[in-house]
Amino acid sequence: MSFESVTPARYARFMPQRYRLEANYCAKCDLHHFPPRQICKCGNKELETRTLPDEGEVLTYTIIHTPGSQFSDERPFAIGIIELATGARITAQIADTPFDEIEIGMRVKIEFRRIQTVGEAGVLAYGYKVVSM
Amino acid sequence: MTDVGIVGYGASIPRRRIKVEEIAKVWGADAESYKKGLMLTEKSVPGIDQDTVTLSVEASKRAIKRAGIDPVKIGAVYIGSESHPYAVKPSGTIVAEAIGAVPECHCADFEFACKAGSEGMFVVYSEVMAGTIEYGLAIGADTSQGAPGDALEYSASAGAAAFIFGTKDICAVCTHTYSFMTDTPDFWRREHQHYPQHAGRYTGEPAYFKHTLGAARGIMKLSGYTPDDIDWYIGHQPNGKFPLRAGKMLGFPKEKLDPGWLVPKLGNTYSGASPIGLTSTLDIAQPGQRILMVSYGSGSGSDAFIFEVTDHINEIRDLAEHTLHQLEYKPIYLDYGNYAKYRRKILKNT
Ligand SMILES: [Zn+2]
Repeated sequence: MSFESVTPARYARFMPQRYRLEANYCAKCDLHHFPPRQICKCGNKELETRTLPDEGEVLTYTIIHTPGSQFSDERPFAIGIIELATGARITAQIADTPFDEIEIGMRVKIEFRRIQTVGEAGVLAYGYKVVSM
Repeated sequence: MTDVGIVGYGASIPRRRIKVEEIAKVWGADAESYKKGLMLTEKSVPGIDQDTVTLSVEASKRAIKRAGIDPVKIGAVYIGSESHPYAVKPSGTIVAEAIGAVPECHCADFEFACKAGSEGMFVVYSEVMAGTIEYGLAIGADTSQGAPGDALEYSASAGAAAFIFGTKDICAVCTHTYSFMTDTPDFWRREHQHYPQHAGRYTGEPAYFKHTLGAARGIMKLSGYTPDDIDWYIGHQPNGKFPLRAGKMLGFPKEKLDPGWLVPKLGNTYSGASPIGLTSTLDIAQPGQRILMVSYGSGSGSDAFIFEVTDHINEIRDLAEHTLHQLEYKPIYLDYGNYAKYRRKILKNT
């Protein structure tokens, strides 16, 4: 999820998912869609807005040594795929955790963090990361 | 009159720390004399991705967990800080959006040096009392900086505390409030300056002590309580010494300060200082006990509150991470180079 071209309008549109982890849930399939989508793969359009749980499990991860220039102050850092609820997997930075403590299956929790700052004068982009617990 | 008080509370403390020795080494200063003079050994440092807004959101999420309420019912969000991330644009709107309190919500950012957090508490208390809102959220948060090499650099740290006030399922009833303030130029920062100026010794007697003692004595007179009637005292904590000395002058033994006296390992969290001390005191307080909290903000003024803890505290305190746990959980120690990078003290070509 890149903030490379953060315009205020685009940034605001993603707030429900990036600030509050709002997903769409299909009761027929017992499946969460994140990022949210309007129609489930079963064809159901009656999806319910649900906030994902703020704890989950690391499914896999990698260490990034050469990120895009907007993230260079943070390198190296860990990125993981985290399962929060049935079907709901997010990609997020694993912050505040020494690399040798990170492992598959590790429990993590969501924290609200600053994701990117656009230059010296642009908008501050906030969103989620995960930390060990 | 309906009881109004705290229905949920929470703190947020970053995991990064720097030790006094590490700062002193760079400036050729004597670490031992700073440690003794300030009565602190280390301080918290925000990550590169943490600021007043992110710490406020985390503290608020803990307060909401303890309150067990739908955040949509929060009718006011106030953040007191002197390190709002934007020069122009409220911090409170970001926090309100992140916790899901929008759009039917009143919102403002408060500033009054280190007293900004208790100002928000004062206002939401009054609004709930007046019946204009059902719940109100007040936050004190800072990620403050001292100029490199200045005495403030050894203490200026980061943290946040959040309180939800309401009338139902109260864990600490607010029984009295009192404010004491005068115009006192002890600490300031002019527009476009990176770091604040302070008036050295003048920050003590005529500033911190006059207002802290004035507010504490004022609220005790108002309530008719003596230090014997109060179980816990929390003062503002710019260093370890000031709150201890004020507590002693007021007649509180050190045991009554201990749960809220976090500065030796936390540093000075500015607007977060006495509010974070209140959260760690609520973490251990027993039903029926009374808590006196006195904030201090340069400029200068103090807000005082007396809270009476209810039985409900036992049901909610373990619903979120305790404050002391956050202070002690796996700290990440930084060297000065990384600290300078994290606090953006290094000038880079852009
Ligand atoms: Zn479906």
